[in-house]
Amino acid sequence: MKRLLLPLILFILFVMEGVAIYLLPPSLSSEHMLIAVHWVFMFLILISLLYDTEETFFAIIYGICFGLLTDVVYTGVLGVYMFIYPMTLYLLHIAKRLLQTNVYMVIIISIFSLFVIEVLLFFVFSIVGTVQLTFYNFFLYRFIPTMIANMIFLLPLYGLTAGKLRQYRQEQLER
Amino acid sequence: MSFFRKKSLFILLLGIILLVLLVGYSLTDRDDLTTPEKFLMDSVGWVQYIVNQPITYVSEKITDVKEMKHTYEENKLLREKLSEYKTVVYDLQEAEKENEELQQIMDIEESARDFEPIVSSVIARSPERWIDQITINRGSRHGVEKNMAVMTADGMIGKVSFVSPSTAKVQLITGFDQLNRVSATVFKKDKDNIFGLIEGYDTDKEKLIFTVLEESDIGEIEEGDLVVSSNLGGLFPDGLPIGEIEEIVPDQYGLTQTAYVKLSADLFDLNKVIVVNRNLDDADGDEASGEDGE
Repeated sequence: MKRLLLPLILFILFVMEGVAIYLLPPSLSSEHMLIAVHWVFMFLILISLLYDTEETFFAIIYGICFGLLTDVVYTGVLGVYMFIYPMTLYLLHIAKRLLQTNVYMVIIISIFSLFVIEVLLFFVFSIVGTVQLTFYNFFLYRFIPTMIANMIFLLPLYGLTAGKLRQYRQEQLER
Repeated sequence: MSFFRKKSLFILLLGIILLVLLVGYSLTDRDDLTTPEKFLMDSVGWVQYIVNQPITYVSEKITDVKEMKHTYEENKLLREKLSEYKTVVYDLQEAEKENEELQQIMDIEESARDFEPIVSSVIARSPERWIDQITINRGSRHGVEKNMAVMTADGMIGKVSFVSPSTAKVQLITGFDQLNRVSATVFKKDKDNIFGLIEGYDTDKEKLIFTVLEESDIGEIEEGDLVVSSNLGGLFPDGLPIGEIEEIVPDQYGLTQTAYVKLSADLFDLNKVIVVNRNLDDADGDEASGEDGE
């Protein structure tokens, strides 16, 4: 059951991403600010930091699966999320050894990871030709609103799940 | 340790190759999705539909309460308009009858305006805002096909880009690129209509870009003119409202002019949409859409 719990939560978050735009107040979802929600990725960061041990790669495996799902269901351009999610999570996995995992560090790491995936997405979609924006405009209109929106989501998520994730990791280590 | 590094480098390179291959594959002009993709879309669509129900319910209730405030004034205004409409309805009926008779004489069976509506609800909107795309809960089983126009009651919003058996993806008109231009007409009451193309979307101005075909004269376009879709491109039926001309500016060389069109449909308040099924002779599509139209 516990094995299924994390993918289930990820799947629910994934489905909620599709209706996220309707949960925002209409004035915020106007064209000028491009708020992209990365709720699945936020939870993957928590899994990577709080649940994965040095030897397990759950976050990366889930990253590949849910990246592929996002590609198929939401963008139609295969491979982009499927590559970017696990790659960023792998970098996180390496960097994790040097870092503590208190709430401030989690926020800073999340902002940084979000920046990495947003920039990667920006480059991939620029090359593909769906985006015609300068980097400055991207940063101003897309990255900053996106970051704020996702951090607002991350904090309650951290509060709700951090304890459980740590507990599951402890059980993993004891086994 | 060095073995581990080599291995991860190998996986990274493999990943990049896979990325390029997959992106390349999905950007080719493919007509149909692969079977696994259809399967994933359908099974996720089923869950999305369930999740969407309570959310739509709540947001509809909130809008209802908001609208309640204006009911009194609206009612007054509408009553005035209603009395005007009575004469219009009579005129329209006469005109329709005449049109039918004339068509019979001319031996035209169906006009470019006729279509079969497939009513569907929106079950998801892409969280990746660079890809303006919604998912609807009607698919090939219900007669939806690629490239059909999609509209709301206010006007055209996009076209069907991919179909799976019970869901379909709709590319919104703001996400159209050079390859997906829409042929459109500026509707003029007394003079000839002006033909042109919706070339794309200006993100800064939040308006569609409309250019005029060479034969027509852009000088005749005025602000406030209605832009409707046209049958000339072969994809869409005639007369779906797209928007209103809001601004006319000369292009950078001063030779031609570009008009900016404000969309008449609100793309952030999509709930029920109508897929415009034009294949009236197609028996399959007819049956399925007939059921849903009710």
